[in-house]
Amino acid sequence: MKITLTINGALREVEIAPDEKLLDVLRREGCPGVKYGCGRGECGTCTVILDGRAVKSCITFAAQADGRSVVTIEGIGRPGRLHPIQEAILDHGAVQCGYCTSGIICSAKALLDENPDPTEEEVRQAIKGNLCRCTGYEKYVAAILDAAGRMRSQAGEEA
Amino acid sequence: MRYVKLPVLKLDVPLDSLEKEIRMPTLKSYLRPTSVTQALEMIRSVEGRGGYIAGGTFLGMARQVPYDVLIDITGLGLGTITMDQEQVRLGATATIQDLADSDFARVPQLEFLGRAARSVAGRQIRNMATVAGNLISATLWADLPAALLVLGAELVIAGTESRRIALDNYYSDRSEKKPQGWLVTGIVFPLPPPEARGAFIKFARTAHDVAIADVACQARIDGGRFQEVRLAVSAAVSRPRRLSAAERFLENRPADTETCRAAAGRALENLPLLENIRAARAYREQVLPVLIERVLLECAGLGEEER
Repeated sequence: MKITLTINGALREVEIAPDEKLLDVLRREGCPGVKYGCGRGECGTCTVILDGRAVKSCITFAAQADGRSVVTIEGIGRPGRLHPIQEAILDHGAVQCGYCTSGIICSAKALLDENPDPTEEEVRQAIKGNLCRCTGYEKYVAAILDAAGRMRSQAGEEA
Repeated sequence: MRYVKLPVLKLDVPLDSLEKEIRMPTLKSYLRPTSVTQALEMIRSVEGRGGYIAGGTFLGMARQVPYDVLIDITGLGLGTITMDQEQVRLGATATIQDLADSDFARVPQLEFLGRAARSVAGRQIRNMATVAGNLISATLWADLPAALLVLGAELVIAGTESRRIALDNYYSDRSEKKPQGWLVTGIVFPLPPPEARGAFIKFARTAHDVAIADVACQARIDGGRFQEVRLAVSAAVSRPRRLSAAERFLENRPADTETCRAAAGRALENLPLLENIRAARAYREQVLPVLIERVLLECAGLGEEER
């Protein structure tokens, strides 16, 4: 079957099998930054942003994304011009093995786009579905709170 | 030294049994009806080989989908949550996050429902999973049944005939006749009076794990006595259920710590507690009365914050 979806801003028509997961389709369509972890919706490495909301692409059927818009890590920042969340994560040394990182960035971006000034508890809630076995989360939480500040001051400058 | 023989733990049943379904890929098509009538026609035309999908977080976890045809009901305009002076209506495809974000979750007597919604999994699952799906799909560990049972919720069902089924009957009476090709279109419950108090506790191993037990209570306190008590438990028992014996015991008794403790102490009588990978039956036997006592104390205005 054919579906039409927007992947990182580009409208695409994609041939899929009815039982294919969004994760597999995105990886095939040039987004290998979407990581396969548990395949059961538990670890969050496959997190992408679907119509502005963070979802787990390994348990989402690709057919569910028909007519909708997906943002993956490939659509957030680019080499030489990182997104403030990515800069903050680097500055805080929040990346260790890196496998959970793209999922956490997607969860964080969905949160900050909706809520530019979250509390620490709100940040923890937003990444609750992302497992990180290296960092103990503290550096990620600090980085996301820091990124929220950077994004607010950027928005202030542009306004 | 005495050794305690630990019981053998069994896996949660429903997911396991879903995975035991035919291993061959069976899903042949994915349909997107645009009206309830069209959805009902589609499910009838595929004669038992079709299933409905909304959030899909439960079906998406299974290794194989046990249907030939999936009928996506998210395009039927059933995603809204509304409230008036008398009742609250949750559309069938309203997500659990929609419920958590609802203004009415901040109506004091419904604050516990918002708490229940926020207790479900993580944000990424709540953004997809629907309230109705949580009630009717994964009932062995779902968190919302307990809260919606004490609110007296009913499932609104469309089929060859339209009707409502009380959630309580839906769980307790398997023979409850459902219209052919039935589709849940919404959930309704009466708006509790402002003086009603509700409480909800999810008990799990970690902040992100599924529950060992969910307990909810709603009651009015009139003249210092419990009135119209509804007490329900899910995830700790084979199916979500009201604890009617404890409810009857509480009715009209003083809303004090002694009554709460006495009711919690007898609430487990004849209750078939679950034993699975999350917790042994013996563990649930210990922990459940404590949780029940806590929700009762909270409804009585004697919770930890008030004391």
